[in-house]
Amino acid sequence: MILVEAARKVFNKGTPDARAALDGIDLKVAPGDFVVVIGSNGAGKSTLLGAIAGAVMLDEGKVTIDGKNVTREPTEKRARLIARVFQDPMAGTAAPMTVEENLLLADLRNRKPGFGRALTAGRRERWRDALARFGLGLENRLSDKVELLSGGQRQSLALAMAVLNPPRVLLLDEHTAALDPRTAAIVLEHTVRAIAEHNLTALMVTHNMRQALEVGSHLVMMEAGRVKLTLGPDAKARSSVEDLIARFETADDKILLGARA
Amino acid sequence: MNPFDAFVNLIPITLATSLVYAYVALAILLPFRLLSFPDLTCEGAFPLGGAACAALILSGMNPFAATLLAVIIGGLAGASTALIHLWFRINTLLAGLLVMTALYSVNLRILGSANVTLFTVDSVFSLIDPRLLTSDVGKLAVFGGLMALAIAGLWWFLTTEKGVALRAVGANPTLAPALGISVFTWTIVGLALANALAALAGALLVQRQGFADIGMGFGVLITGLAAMVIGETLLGREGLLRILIGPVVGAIVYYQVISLGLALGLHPSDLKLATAVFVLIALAIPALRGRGGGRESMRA
Ligand SMILES: Nc1ncnc2c1ncn2[C@@H]1O[C@H](COP(=O)(O)OP(=O)(O)OP(=O)(O)O)[C@@H](O)[C@H]1O
Ligand SMILES: [Mg+2]
Repeated sequence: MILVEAARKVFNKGTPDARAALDGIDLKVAPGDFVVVIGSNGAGKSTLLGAIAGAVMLDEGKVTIDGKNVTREPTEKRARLIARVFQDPMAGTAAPMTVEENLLLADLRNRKPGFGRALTAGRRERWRDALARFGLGLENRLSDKVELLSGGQRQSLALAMAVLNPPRVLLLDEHTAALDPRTAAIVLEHTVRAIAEHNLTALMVTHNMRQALEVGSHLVMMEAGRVKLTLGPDAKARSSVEDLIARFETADDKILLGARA
Repeated sequence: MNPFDAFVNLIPITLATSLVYAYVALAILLPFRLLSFPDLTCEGAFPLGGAACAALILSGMNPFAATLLAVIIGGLAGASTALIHLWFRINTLLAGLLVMTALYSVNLRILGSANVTLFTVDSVFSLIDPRLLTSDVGKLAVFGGLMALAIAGLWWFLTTEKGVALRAVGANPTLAPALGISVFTWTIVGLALANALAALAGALLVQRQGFADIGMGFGVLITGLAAMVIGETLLGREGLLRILIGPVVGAIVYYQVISLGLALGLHPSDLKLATAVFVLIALAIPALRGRGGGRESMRA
């Protein structure tokens, strides 16, 4: 469960460039909800995800995850609860380290590192299984450096790392945008499967309207740091790409379509 | 005696010397390559280790305890550089420069004068076996053995879960926190570890040579950098063990080359210039070969 209340974030405060990336936004994501977030460039989508993850510290407002107020907690404290995949495949992996070292880091997300051996046969077995699902041959490249992988392989690894130990919250920021259509489809398919399999609470940002309608249980449209439109499962199912595009153009109407359970 | 004989005669003593300065090369390599933190502190931490160890032994402390304490003090110097960078967002090079400069005065305070002798007191070497430092073989065995231990220890640590977490901070500092790894903690740990090694080198050196000198740190930074770069050129940067052994091999090669140069008539006062040119060439090789990559960060 994610609760964002009256969240406000102004970048470059006190300068002529000052601009509210988040302008008193409210958002509630119930456990198991898979919310797709859309909105034009600069609407504040990445800032919202950053505020939930701790990469962005709010000026005002509150972020609660599973009933715990995490507003002031730094990213590394929240990491136990949250996994994140970024648009840039470089961002979600440690390029100079090997695939298996990256997977170990993913294992460390929800526990403290110890003085034990990092790479063991048992762990490698488990990691190989986790990677084999993608069908990209990554399971045979455990000891390769990540910088040798293609963007798609890297992003698959980043996703595998995010769901290796199912988080309470999964944040995806245009994570298929930089991939070719085929790889994007593979990564998206695995995303949807992992979310369903572990019943994850997830937020996914996308600019692809078709994708936005195809996956996810709810849809949120952002504009100028606020929620402009929320669609529940029924309304989302009834909407078309044309409906969404039309919504982009209409003035600030905060209609709530489709009652939420 | 012809110059070449002089060089050959000096090989054992030069080897032993390189096995001391190799710690400094490691102290540069660890923050630079594993944390992406170019750290200059070692130029101050190395004489700090020497000065602290000398002063403590002269005050009557057991040499082993004095060495250990000197190492810890060196670690604190590294931690202060890390904190200056982390707290005040001061550029990494500048933070190191500040601490290094401050340490010059600190070292002078600790020593009490520009140099002190330790001929009348015990050292860790004389405690183990008084004959240890009288033969070249003994010296090489001691310093070679200690270096092997240090490399093994570093390798062990860096392949634990904690070690991998530390490396993640250098590999991707924005990802690390998202994986629950504290950039703050591990930067401090890494710099403390590196400068503890530099201080260890200083502590061992003063006990070996029987005196401590305020100027003993002068230029160790460029020497260490040269050793690191030579090591990387010779052994490459693939695999942790190679990365760790590189500076040792580099230091050995560096000191033999310098010794040969001196034997052939290189003026000692030209040494720094020669070293700088040497480092420049080693760093420029990849670019000259036309495959820029890799060392970009050092040329920046
Ligand atoms: N670190 C930052 N410093 C200054 N301004 C920022 C920063 N991050 C975001 N902004 C500004 O905040 C606003 C919202 O940015 P954000 O990245 O959240 O938009 P977005 O909805 O993710 O856009 P896009 O679809 O282009 O990814 C923009 O005006 C942006 O310029
Ligand atoms: Mg964005």
